[in-house]
Amino acid sequence: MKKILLIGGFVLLFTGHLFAQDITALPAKIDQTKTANTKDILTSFVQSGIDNLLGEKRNFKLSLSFLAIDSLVNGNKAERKLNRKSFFRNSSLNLNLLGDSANHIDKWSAGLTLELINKKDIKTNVVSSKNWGEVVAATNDYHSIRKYAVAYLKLEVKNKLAIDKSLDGAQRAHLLDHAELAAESSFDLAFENKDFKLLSSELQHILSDPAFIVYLKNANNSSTLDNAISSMKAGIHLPNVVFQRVAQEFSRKPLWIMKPTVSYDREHKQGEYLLESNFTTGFGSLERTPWEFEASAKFLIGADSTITSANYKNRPLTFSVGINKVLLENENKESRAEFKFFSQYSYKVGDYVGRKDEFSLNSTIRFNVYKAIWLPITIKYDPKNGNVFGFFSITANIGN
Amino acid sequence: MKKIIIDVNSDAVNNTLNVEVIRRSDDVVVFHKLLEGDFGTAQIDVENLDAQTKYKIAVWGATTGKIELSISGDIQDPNPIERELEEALDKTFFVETNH
Repeated sequence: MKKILLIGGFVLLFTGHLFAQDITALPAKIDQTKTANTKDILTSFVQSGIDNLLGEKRNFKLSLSFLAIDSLVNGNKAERKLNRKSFFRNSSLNLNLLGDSANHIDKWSAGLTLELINKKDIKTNVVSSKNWGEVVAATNDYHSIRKYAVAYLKLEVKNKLAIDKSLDGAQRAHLLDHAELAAESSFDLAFENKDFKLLSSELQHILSDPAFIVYLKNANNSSTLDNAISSMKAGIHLPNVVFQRVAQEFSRKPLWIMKPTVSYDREHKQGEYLLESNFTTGFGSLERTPWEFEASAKFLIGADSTITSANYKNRPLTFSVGINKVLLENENKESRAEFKFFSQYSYKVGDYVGRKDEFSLNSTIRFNVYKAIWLPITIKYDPKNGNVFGFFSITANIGN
Repeated sequence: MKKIIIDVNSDAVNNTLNVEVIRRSDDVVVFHKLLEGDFGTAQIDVENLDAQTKYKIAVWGATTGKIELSISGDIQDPNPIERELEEALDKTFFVETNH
């Protein structure tokens, strides 16, 4: 059994490493708009981990999305086909092994995360024609400015070269070629860095040249062109701004998942059954950091630990309702700090001896420490049993 | 006459991709193609191009996933140009047709 646990641990780590490489290959930029709260609910592709490696209770975890399982079995071709199916991407198989310090497996659990509704995934939901039309108009305007600015610059360079009698035809062609390549590279650099202050001084000068504006408008009479020109002159990457606004709208749409889990404690020969449901949806102005409403329900059938033999007398039904607010975002609209406030009511179903119900108010503030690592601090208040300040417990865990 | 082959591949349901081929000597657009929506894989053949001529291939649009692009055919560099594009996109490639 010890060998199985060790091998299992290595397999989990190894598969985690393999899929971690695949994660970077997935189109991820748009996912940056998801809050940490949303990412808590879903497995992006694969998650694996070992907790408390040196302690008495060692915990091995593996969550594989159905897409990851499918790509493991069928390779990348199937992945591409299935990539469109949100259910495969966001539903997962979750395995957990709990071992002791001698690497005996004390407890195992297996469960599923099933996506019932996911309107947040912009990759699998069709963007409305109005919103998509704005994105397309912004990219068309940008491209039009770029195309005619380069053509205008070539005309200017060509005229200058024409009056330089020291140059022959081949030299002129070479210099013109060079000027065009440099202009296109300058646009590529500014576009990729999302900062049009990086455009070359020649191109910035052209953008402010009234003769160029006339030249451009003769070729393109788009009603949004003036805004596109003034944005570019101000250094603003308008296609990205419009695109991010659409992504923000999607980040506010609803997500509902169901999670059935079965566990078995080998030591006490005790089973445990858990059914969870999580719903979240965003709201609030697109101009401000997002709010999220969250509701969850959980029903556990497990052991009453005051009874020594195996039993199923502990059956808490828990409801939770709360809100999550992004406090800080970076320049790419990625969440960096979040505050969550939620109330929780738990009722013990059946003939449980002891306190049957519990109501608590909870708040969590979490800070993004580095990449996917978050530092959450949770404060719990039990108004029924608490004193003036209530009962507070503060925990800090590092994890996704 | 020479031919350029542009292979595109996308996993996204929201795509707008313009492909324009311009003869660099005189900025004349010799080819324009628009692909929209869930196009999956597509091959764009740009035919009847002149030999030993420089062309600019402009690619722009937007995607909510990823668009893989590969440019090959009768071009002087035998290695196809390959690139992945995401989000709002605009990229220019330079090729010269062979003898």
